[in-house]
Parts: sequence; structure tokens; C-alpha cells
Amino acid sequence: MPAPDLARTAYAEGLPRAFAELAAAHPEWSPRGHRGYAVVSGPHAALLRPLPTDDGELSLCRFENPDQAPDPQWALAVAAIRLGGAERLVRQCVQHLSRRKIQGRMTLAHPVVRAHVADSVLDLAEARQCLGSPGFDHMVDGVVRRSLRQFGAAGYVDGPARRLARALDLLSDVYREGAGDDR
Amino acid sequence: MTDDDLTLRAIGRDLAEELRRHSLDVHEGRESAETVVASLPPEFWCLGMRPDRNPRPLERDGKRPPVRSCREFTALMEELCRGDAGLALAMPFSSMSALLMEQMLSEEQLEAHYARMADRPTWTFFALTEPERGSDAGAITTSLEPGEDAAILDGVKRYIGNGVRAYCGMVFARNTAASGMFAVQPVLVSADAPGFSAERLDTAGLKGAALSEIRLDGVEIPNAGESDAGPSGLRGAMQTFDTFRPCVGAMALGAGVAVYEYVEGELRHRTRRAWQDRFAHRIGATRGLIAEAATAIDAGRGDGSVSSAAKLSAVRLADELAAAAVAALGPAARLEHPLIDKWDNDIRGIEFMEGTSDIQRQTIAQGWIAGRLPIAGAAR
Repeated sequence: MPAPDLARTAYAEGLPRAFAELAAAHPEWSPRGHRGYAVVSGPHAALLRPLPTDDGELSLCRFENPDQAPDPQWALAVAAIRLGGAERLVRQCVQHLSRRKIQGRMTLAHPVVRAHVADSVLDLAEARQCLGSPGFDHMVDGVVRRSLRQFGAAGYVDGPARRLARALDLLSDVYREGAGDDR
Repeated sequence: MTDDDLTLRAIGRDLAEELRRHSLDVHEGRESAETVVASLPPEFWCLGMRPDRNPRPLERDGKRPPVRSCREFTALMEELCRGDAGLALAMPFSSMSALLMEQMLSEEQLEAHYARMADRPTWTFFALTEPERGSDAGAITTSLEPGEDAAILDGVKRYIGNGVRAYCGMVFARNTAASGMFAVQPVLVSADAPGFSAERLDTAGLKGAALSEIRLDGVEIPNAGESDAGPSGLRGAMQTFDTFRPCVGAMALGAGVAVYEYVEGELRHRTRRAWQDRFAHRIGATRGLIAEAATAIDAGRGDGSVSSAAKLSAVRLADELAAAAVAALGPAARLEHPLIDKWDNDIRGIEFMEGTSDIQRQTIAQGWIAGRLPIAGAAR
């Protein structure tokens, strides 16, 4: 399944739907990530704990043989899903900020707020150009961090934004570029 | 640093070690912050009390360091947050309401309050923030309607530390019979008053702080609501924020230092050196800014921009440290190093206390333009 399609599904329909499409399109790929952790849609025998998102749940799993290398094809597909998921978070952030006011003016209309949105959009545009490279993780992680911050305290309590951001943080943790222990 | 400063930091470090032991259990819901605080020596329940009224002062090596000034609070909070920022906020002394309560309570009420603090862990709350308005005090909608025998309080407050476990606290409300900045005033509210309810919020971090939503549904406040009631009003709230802001900076710095030290211990020689080169000097610089802001406040020349600089410097540094830690520790760092993941979530929460970073940036710019922020070009 092409990366742009996965990113589009993650953006429009959420992470669980994108993972389900990925698994259906490539049942031969292993979802194994770093240190034996994996994220899949639906139930799994190796379930560690559910991973809630803004729309449905994923499953965080732990496989045996944690030193076995991740499947690079699955990891690249997950990078595309993360890209779409991060853009979905930015969209939710913009919707949230357009419903709030600061000093009588829509929060989103304040130049400093729009500048943050612009930085996120620019980072995502660059990330799309370097899918799967080391710089990709840094850019997408930064967008998630910045967008959640823009929600203010509303993004700190349980709700769609926090769940989506948390899932994206853990996807980055499990599937980011890196060869394991490079300390 | 004075001898008292060093003693206070040493006490803080010991307590931080104890808090760290409970950190993950509280974060993951296996233990309550109330239990942790109750297990501490009673001297820690009485921290921050007026020295002449404190029956259980802290003591170490024959010294009794005071914990009253902003400088002392910031030093203690930095040390405690190296242990656990959420549990540091669960310490009874950490509520912003303490100073206001001293101003507003009668001698008799204050005596009863202090007696309670000495007897058992006693929490209070400072309720200003509202769901759709954040901490914009000028936009408060919680209303205080004066009546013949009592004023009636209605509204919702959100993200209020210790809200579910406090026995009383200060609520900021808009007096419907007043106008201008004095229309916003603090009132003392008892948690057992009819119409008062509090619910714990499910937060990403700072679990020990018990951030809560407080609902006030026709709560009667005796002897409140006169238009000249309360010495503080909105200005009082702003002064409290300015005073507390360096403490929030100290909290962020403490949590950031915890991250720094943890990663430092995990890295091998070469990468450790690069880590130290990247962050060690910045930690010192931020600590200096916090001390400068706290000293200015203690000297009565506190300026919002100096406090904002201290807070923003610390929050920015702690945020960078948390993000860099996840990268430095390698793939699966959040899952393999749960303290790092927890501290990252704590640090994100500290940013929202006393105004977001964008608000601090505006205050800093305005302060420097007006010559109030002492760097090189401004008059001291």
C-alpha cells in the first residue's frame, strides 16, 4: 500500500483505521519495532496494554526476542501513518483554537498563535519530503509536541487531543529511525 | 549561597529522594499522594508557616532554615522537583493560597488553620482558572452575588491543584455589585459548604498534584460580597502570580535537572560529555535567572518581566531536556525508561502554570522595551 494512502487514511479516519489497512494490505510484514515492542490494530496475543487514540484503540504489544531487528517496511509504513496522524492533530488544534477566545478575539486569529501553526505545517511539509530519514522523526515529534502545547491545559487532561498525541509519541518510540542502543 | 540556603537545599534533597521512591507508583495509580505526604515527618506538613507560629520547624544540624521568602521557596521547590514535581505540588505548603489566606483570615481562623496543619496533612486550593478562559483573570465569569446575609457563589474552576483533597481555599469571582478591576475578588470557601463539589481530572502527568475541577453551585459565603471586601482583588491575584512564577520556574528546573542527571548516568563517556556540554551551563544560567527574580521579589522590586524570564527560561530548558532525553536514550526510550516518560509528561504540565510560554514572551518583550528587565542596557 503506498505511503501517501496510509498518511491520508490516518489524517482523515484516524490511526486505527490506517493500521488496519496496513495489516490487510501487507499481512507478510512483521509489526515488530524496537526492543520487541509493536503496535497493531485489533486484539493480539502479545498485548501489553491498549493504546487509546482519538478515534478507537490500537494495541501496544511486546514480542519475544527483543533484540530481533524491526521490519523496515512496516516501520516505513508507520512513518507515513505518523505523518498523517500528526497533521490530524494539527487540524484538531486549529479547530480547538478557533472555538476559543483571548481578550475577546478568536485565539487562532492572534499572530503569535498562527505563527506556531505555520511552523507545524512547514515541519510536516518538510517531513513528507524525507519520510523514513533520521530528520523525519525529529520534525514530526516536534509538531506533536508543539500542537499539544497549543491546546493549553485542555490538551493535558484526558481527551481526543491527548490520546492522539500520546499514541503518536509511542509510535515514534517504537518505530523511529535508529539501530537500537546507540548510546 | 548562605548557610541557611545550603541547609534548606540539603533538606530538600533528602525529601526529594523519598518522593522519588513513590514517583512511579503515584503516577501509575498504585499509591495516593495523600498517603505519601501522610507518611512524611510532620515538620514537612508545616513548611511555609510563619516561624513564630510553627510548632514543628524544620531542623538540621542545629539549624532551623526559614521557608518564607521567594528565594527560599524556589530553592526548596527545585530540590523537591528533582524527586517528583507532582508530589512536590502535593506538599501542603505549595499552594498559592497560603499567602492570601494569611492576609484574609482572622487571627482566630488562622490559629485554627495552623493547628490543623500541625496535626495532619492539610491542603488548601487557589481557584482562579476557568474552563474556557484559562488563567485570564480579567475574563472570570464565576459570580459572587451579594445578598443580605451572605453572598452567593456560582461557577466552575478547572485545573485547580489539590482541589479534591483541600478542606478550604480561595476562589476568585466577579462581584456582580462592583465594577473595574476590584470587581474580581478572592473569597474563602469551605469544601464542605453545600453546593461545593470537586472532581479529580485525569492528567497526562503531575498526578500527585490532584488537578481538579471545582463546581460552585449557589455556595453561600457569609460576610462576603461588599464592594470593598478583600484587600487584593485582581491586583492581588496578579501579585500572587508574579511571586509564584519563579517558583514554577524552579519546579521546571528541578524536573529538568532530574532528566539531565538520569540521562547523564545512562550515557557512555563520549556521548555523556556531549550531553554535559550541551546542557550543564544552561542549567546554571537558568538557576541564576530564577535566583535573580526571587531576590527581586523579596526586595519588593519584583517585576512581572523578570519573573516571566525566569519561568520561560526554565520551562524551555526542561522541555528541551525531556525531548533530548528521549532521543539520547535511543529507540523505545519511553517504554524502557518510564521515569523519563513520566518526567516529560510532568514538564509539559508545568508549562501551563502561571501563564503559557507565549504570554511570558510578551511580558518579557514589554519589560525589556520599557527598561524594566535588567540585562546590559537597562538601568538597575
